[in-house]
Amino acid sequence: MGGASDELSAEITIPDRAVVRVSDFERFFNQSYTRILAVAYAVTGDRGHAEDIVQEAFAATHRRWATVATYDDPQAWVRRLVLNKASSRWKRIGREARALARFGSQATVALDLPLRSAQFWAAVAALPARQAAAVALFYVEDLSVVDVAKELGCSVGTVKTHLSRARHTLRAQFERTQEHGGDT
Amino acid sequence: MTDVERADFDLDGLAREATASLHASTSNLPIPMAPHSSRGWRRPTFAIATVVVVIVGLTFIVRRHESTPSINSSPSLHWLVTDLPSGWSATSADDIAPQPSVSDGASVQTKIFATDAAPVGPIISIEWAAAGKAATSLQPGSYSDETGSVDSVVNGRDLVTATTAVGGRVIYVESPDGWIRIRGRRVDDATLTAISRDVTANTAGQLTLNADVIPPGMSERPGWMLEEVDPQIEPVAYSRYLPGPDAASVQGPRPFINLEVRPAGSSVFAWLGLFAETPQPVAVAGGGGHFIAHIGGSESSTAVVAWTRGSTEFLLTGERVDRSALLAAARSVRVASARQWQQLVDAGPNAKPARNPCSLLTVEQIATATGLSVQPGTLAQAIGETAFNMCTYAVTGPLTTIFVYVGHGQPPAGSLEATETRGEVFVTIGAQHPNAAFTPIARQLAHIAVAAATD
Repeated sequence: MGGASDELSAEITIPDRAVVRVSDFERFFNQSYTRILAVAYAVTGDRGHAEDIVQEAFAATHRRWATVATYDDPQAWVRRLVLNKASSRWKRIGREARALARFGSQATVALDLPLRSAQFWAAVAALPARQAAAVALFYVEDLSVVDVAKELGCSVGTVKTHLSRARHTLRAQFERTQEHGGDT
Repeated sequence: MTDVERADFDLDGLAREATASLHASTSNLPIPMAPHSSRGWRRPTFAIATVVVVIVGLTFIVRRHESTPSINSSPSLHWLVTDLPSGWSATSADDIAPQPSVSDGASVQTKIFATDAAPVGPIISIEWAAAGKAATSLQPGSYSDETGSVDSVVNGRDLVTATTAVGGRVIYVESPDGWIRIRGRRVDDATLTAISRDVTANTAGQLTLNADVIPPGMSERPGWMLEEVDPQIEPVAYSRYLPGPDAASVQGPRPFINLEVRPAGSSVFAWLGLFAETPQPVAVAGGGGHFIAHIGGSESSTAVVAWTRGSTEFLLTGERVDRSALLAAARSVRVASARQWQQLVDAGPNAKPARNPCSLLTVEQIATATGLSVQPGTLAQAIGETAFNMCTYAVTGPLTTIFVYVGHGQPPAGSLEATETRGEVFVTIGAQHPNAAFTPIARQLAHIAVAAATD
């Protein structure tokens, strides 16, 4: 099937630009890492997964740095990679697998956060992927609804719906927690 | 200001507070060395994460258009496995209600070319952005299972070639308005490159392709629904099966069988699986379109069987279950009676807990056992559960949080946690950052808590 493989090698030239601007990349990495990690944590609720995803995203960015460095907002590009990777990782898992992840032999690794904040981000990570991404971009990155829509590649109306549903879920969850909690 | 931007005060305040804490916490973490390649960067992968990722990758089924004998076209999603390995039993069931989709439609369009042997045999997919969509998932490096990425230029266009986890090949080619991804399984590089040479996509979402470069015997399969969808917009019924208590002592991942049942046409089985594993056809209930795939190339790891029956789609996942046992389980699924199903739902994690988990231990008991300062408990949901089966206590010191979980049926295993079972009730005591010294303390607390739960 297909032609000879030497046809492939004859057409390909490796551009020199792939090796330039590495020092720029390292500077970009050092400036962006913790902020991107915060976004990743917001959508995964797990420090280990977040670090993996961020590392993979920056590695992919490094490979494309010659092109990405020319973008208006390279950090947005990395952020999109992170959200895509997080979404791919958690998509279609279902609650069974998530419960396993919670109670399996490898427990979720959380950041050292105050309890209410830890509970909030755990609840965000349990939202549907697009809702969690919208919450992360809206709060953690402090983007406007319009910018969240651009970043997620959807309409402003869809972002509003995602945020509204996320808020509804989170509010209900925390209200129930307050109603039931702490009868020790 | 819109309704969305005018957020509820309390929730918005909590979100801002949590955001500030998150930034403060990540800012205190050490920044690792900048990456220079994707290899060597990955942390040791968590076993469960591997299972999850591969299950995600494998959950694909082809809705073939030839007639498939319908053995039982009941629209019920409540099916149970009736032939289980010796000592195994059904332990819980759960229903997930559908949510309406808020999607603007798929951001990625896909053409699939395959032979009549599909899903076995050569397959090519071409993906491009839908009209007006950013389709960021098509960017090179979007999938973590790609390795050996090589940048090049073909016909003046940027091109990235990489290898997928199971040896398939992927080529990203830059089109004027975004990237196009061409993936192949059992298709050589020359064919993929020939496709990439002329393929283009415009902002109207139209793809131009030289059909002459598609290999003989392969044809487009427009009937295959290959949209990515969020599982939470679909109804799904889960049932779970576990071995007897003796298996708890086995090292490594706990064996389990999990059955997910959804309405056919929900497109829950993602196209990702086409290129994540090489499926093998198996007969599950007469007719085609069924396959089994083993994860990690070993029959001792996780395996998946996916098939359709009438208007229902099935996905059976087995961890540490051999192929013959999993196939026997797949062939034995039967519609559950309402009573059978309800009994399993009542035994599952979302059943109403018999006792409030915050009432099983006092702050003083935890403080005495741990020697730590303990804050009052707060009811919480475990990830993926809707019921408040857990109580969390903030504590001083590296454990950060101690939780008490009360459940029914077979408890999950956790190496640094402690679980005590009495009858059908179990209590698990865990911590956010458990360590070996915590385990005997957890056992002591679990002993007290399970007694309280069943008194």
